[in-house]
Amino acid sequence: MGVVSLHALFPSILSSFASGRMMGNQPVFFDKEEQHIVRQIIDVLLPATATPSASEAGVHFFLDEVFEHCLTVLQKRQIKEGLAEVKKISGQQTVNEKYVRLMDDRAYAKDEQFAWFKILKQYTLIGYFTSMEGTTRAGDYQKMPERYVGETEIDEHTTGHSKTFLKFYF
Amino acid sequence: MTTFSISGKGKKQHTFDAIVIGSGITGGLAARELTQGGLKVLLLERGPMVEHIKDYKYEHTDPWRLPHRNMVPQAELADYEIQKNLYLFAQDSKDFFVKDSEHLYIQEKPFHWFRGYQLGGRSLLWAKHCYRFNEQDFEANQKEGIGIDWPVRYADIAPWYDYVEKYIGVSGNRDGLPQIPDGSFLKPFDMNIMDKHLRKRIKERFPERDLVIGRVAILTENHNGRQHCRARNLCHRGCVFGAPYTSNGVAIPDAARTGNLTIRPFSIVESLLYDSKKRKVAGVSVIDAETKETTEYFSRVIFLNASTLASTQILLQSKNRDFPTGLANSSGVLGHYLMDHHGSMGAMGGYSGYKNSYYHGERPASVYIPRFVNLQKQEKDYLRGFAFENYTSRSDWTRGFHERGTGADWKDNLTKPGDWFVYFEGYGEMLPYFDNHVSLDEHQKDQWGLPLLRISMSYKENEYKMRKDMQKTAIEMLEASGMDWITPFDHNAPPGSVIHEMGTARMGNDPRTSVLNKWNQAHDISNLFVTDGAFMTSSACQNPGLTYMAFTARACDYAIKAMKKGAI
Repeated sequence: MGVVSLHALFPSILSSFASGRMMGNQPVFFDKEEQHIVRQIIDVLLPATATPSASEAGVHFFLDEVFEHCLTVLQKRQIKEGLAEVKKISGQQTVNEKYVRLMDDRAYAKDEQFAWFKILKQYTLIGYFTSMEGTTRAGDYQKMPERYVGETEIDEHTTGHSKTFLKFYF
Repeated sequence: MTTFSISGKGKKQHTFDAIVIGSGITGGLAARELTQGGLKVLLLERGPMVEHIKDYKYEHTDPWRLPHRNMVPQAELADYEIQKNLYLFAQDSKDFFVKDSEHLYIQEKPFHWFRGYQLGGRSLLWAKHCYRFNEQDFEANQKEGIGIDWPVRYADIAPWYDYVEKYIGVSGNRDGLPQIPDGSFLKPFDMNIMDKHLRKRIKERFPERDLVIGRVAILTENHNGRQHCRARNLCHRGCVFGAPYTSNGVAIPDAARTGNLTIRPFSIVESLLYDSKKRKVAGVSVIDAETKETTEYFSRVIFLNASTLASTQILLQSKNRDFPTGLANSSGVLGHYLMDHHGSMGAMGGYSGYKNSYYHGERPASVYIPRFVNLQKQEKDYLRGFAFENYTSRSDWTRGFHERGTGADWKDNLTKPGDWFVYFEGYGEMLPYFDNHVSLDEHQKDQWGLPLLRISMSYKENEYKMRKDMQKTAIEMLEASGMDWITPFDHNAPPGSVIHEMGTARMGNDPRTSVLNKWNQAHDISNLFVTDGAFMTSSACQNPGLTYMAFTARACDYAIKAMKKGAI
C-alpha cells in the first residue's frame, strides 16, 4: 500500500518542486478562487497539445509566487482588479474560452482596462516555457551544445531552442 | 589559488615589490605580468573573492531552478537602482554587480556607473569584443587639433596587441580591414545564414561597409590549458571550461602559480602614501571593507587598475601638500576629459525568409560592422565615426509577449523558431572635453568615510550629429537587406551606459597637459603607473578592453626593466 501511494504522489511532488514550491503551501498572492480562475485562463492560453498544458507544468504556482515578489504595486493591483472582474462575470461557471479570447483582443488593442491580462499572459509564457516541462518538452533544451554550428537545416516540425539566457523584455 | 590575509603590523610582512590596485581586466593582467617578471606582488581587491569555478553559483543551473526564473524581486531591485538597467542584470549575474544603495556616487548630470566589486571585477561580465585601434585612431587628435596628441603610435602598440591576443585567446577572422588591423586569432565563430545575407546585401549596396564575425576573447579552440567554448552563451555565470577570458579564470591563477602573488580582498584603498623627499609613492593605506580597520602596505612600484573612475578617485583622495589637487596632478587635468562610447541606438528588423535554416548552440558573439565613415577623408558634418554590433537570431517564444493569440495553434507555433530577428546597435566615438569630469564631493561621505565621487558628463554637438547618422545608416542597411519590418530605436541612455568609461588621467608628451607619459607612468611620480581606462587620450569607437590590456602588458614590461636598472 505504501508503495502505491508513493507512486501516486510522485508526479505532483516533481511538479511542485519544479515550480519552486513545496507541497502543502497555501497560495501567497492569489486566494483560492483567484487561483481557480487563473488556472482556467492559463489553460485556455496554453492548452494540452503534444506538450503539457500550462497547469500541468505548474504555471499557476509559478504565477502565485512571481506575482507576489516580482510585480510592482501597480501591477499587483491591476491583476487583482482584473481577476475580480472576471469573477463577477463568470460567477460559479468555468471561465468561458470566448471571454479569454475577448480579453486578449482587448489587451492587445491597448485597452487599459485589460492591461492586466497582458501581464498575466506574459508571465504565463515565462512560467510555461522556463518550467521543467516547457524547457525539456516544448523546446530543444541544449544544455551543453558543445560547438556552435552556424547553419543547420530544419523543417516545419523542428522545435526552437529552449531559452537559457533568461532576460525578459515586456 | 592561495589567499593570504595579512593581519600583522610588521612593516616587513607588509612590504612587496609591487602593489596592484584592482583585479579586473587590467589589474589581473598586471598581476600576472609583474609576478612572472619575478616581482612579489600584492593584489588589492575592494570586494570579496570570486574563485574560478568554485564561486560560479549558477553556471549549470537549469532555467526552472533559477530563483524566480531569473527575475529579480522588487524588494531587491531597490538596491540596484543603476545596475538593474543593464541587459545582463538578472538573478544569475547580480552577485557580480554592486549594490548602488551601498556604493554611492553623485550624478551631477545623469551618468550610469556600472560596477562589479569582486575579484575579477567586470572581467566576469565584459562582452569580450576585441578590436585593435588603428593608425588613424592614434593620430586623429593631432591631425584635427582635438584634445592632445597620443604619445604613441599604432606601431608602438602593435607588438603588445599580438602579445595580449596570444595570451588571452581571441577568435576572429583576418579580414584585412585597415580600420581594425588583423591580429593573432583563433579560428572565427561561424556565421549563420542571416549574417551572410546581411554581409552580402550590405556590401552590394555600400561597398565601403563590411560585416565581419565578431572578434571575441572566447576560445574556439583549446588554448593555453583552457578549453573551447561550448556555445551556451552564458559566460556571465562563469565558465568551468575557462573559454571566455576573465581575470579569475586566466591571469590571476597564472599569477598565483608563480608563487609571487598575495591577494587581499575586502581592501578599499583610502590613499596612496607619498614620500615627498624621494618624490615617489611609498605604499597604500587600505581600509578593510568589513572591519573598517586601516592598514598600510609598502612597495617599490604601484599599479593603479581600480577602473577608470575609481583610479582617478584614489588619486584625488591622495592629495597632499605637494599635490594639493590630487596626487600626480601638477597638470591640473586629473579628473577631466572623461569619455565613454555613445550607443543604445540603432535599428532592428525582422525577416520571414530562410525558414529552413537554423543554427546549433547559442553563439556568445555578435557580428560587427567596423567604422566606415570619415576614413579616407572628412566627409561628414561630425568628426570620427562609429561601428555596429549586430545580433541575429531566430526569434523565440517571447515573441508571444507582443502578439494577440491564445490556444493550441498559437502555443504550438511558439514552440517553433520564429522569424529572423536582426538588431543593429551603434557604438560611437566620443571626443574628449575638459568639462566632462569627475571630482570629490566636499561634504558627503560613504560608509568608509571616503568622499563621494561627483560625475559630470554629457554628450555634445559632435556626438548628437553622429547619432543621427548612426541611426540613418542602420536603417538604410536594414532596408538594403530587404527586412520585412524595421524599427529604429534610441534608448536615450545616459553617458556611462556603454561601460567604456575612459580618460580622466590621460597620457601625453607634455607633463603640463597630461597626467601620464607614454609608458602609463605618472609624469610627476616615476614609480606610479595607471593602466586601466583612465589613461586614454581619445576613445576611438572600438571596444577598449584589448587596448587597455596591451598598454598594461607594455607598461609592466617597462616597469620591470626600469626596476632592474634601478631607474625606479
